[in-house]
Amino acid sequence: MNPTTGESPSPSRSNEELLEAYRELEQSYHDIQTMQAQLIESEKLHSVGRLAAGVAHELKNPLAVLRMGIEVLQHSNASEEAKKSLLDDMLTAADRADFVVRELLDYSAPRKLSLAQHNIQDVLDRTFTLASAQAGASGVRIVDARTPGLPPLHLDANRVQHALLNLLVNAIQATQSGGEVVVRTSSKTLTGLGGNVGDSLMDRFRVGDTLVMVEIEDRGQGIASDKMSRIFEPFFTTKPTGKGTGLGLTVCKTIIEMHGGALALRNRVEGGVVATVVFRV
Amino acid sequence: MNPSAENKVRVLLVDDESGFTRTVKLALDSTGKYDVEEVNEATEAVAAAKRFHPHIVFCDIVMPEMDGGDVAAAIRDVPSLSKVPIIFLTAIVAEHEAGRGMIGGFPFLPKPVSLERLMNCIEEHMGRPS
Repeated sequence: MNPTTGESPSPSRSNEELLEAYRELEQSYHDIQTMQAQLIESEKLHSVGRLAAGVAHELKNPLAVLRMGIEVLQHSNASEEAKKSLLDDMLTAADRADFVVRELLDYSAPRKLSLAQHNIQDVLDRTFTLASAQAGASGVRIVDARTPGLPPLHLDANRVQHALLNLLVNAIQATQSGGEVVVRTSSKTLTGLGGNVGDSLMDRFRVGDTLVMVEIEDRGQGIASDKMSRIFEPFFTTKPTGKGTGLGLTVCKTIIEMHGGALALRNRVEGGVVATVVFRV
Repeated sequence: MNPSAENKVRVLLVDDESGFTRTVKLALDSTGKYDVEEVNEATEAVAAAKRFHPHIVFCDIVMPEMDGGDVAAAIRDVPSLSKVPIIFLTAIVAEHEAGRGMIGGFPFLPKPVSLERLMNCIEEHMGRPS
């Protein structure tokens, strides 16, 4: 009832108003949907643009060496020694371009996994074997702190091995000679209580999920806080020039997420970085 | 006839890609017209410029620790080097963009670049034909 006039509102008018309000809401909803689609498209284009710029930069540098090198070999009277050194530089440039393209193909490879039941310990055994030469050459010891008896996982073993090897090699490269890299594994079931709450890495899993974790911990200098937020961006690297394409971690994250898992990096209070990989059983 | 050492154009190359600076140095050296110094650590560019007194500087843009813009500004801040032409030599621009001229107030050349174009650029800024 209208408190001023004492009359009841006209039901038909009220319905018209409701209908109008509904139409406005529906229009707003469509507008928001259109805007959202435009934003997604714009972000996609932006991502493609960034990726293209990254590819261009990473390929043009080795191309610049090859282009100028060919001119020198065609026309100059450089000494044999200088030409030999130049050919070495050109070979390195060609290898680098090839490496960038291979990494890029890994990143953009068709999203098909060859899944089978595997024990993560077996995958890690092979990863350790592959990394042992680099660890030995760098004077870094790999400390095996794995927990036995973890539940088996549905994995594409080759791809997961590729990701774990990448993380392990990063850790070895970040550690000074004489230092160590620690690899831990564990398993837990999410209860929604205690340590799980507020852990962004666990946000994507549900209460009741059983998870298997792999942690690779180095004793390096850690990652500067202003760089940490960009660490998974394609072509972003904290390594010295020529030592990394900036695609390694991007590829790792893609592989882990294709398995429904999660990957996170964080600095340790004591120094160094921990890479944590989580798989759902 | 090649110019004597004191008549050669002194070119400073600042680029973290040592393979690239070695190749460009070899190419320019082979013409007999240039005296080339390479710097692969951006943070050492100003000290090298003060020591070498280049007639022209070619500088990469994307480098760890210090980018090309900061290097160029730091060189500009040195009174004895403030008039030295600084050219960005970079892989972040495309060939079709090179004609448009400037990045941050400095001219640029896109990588990969030919020796002829590099020499033309040097001579253009030295005010003489190559």
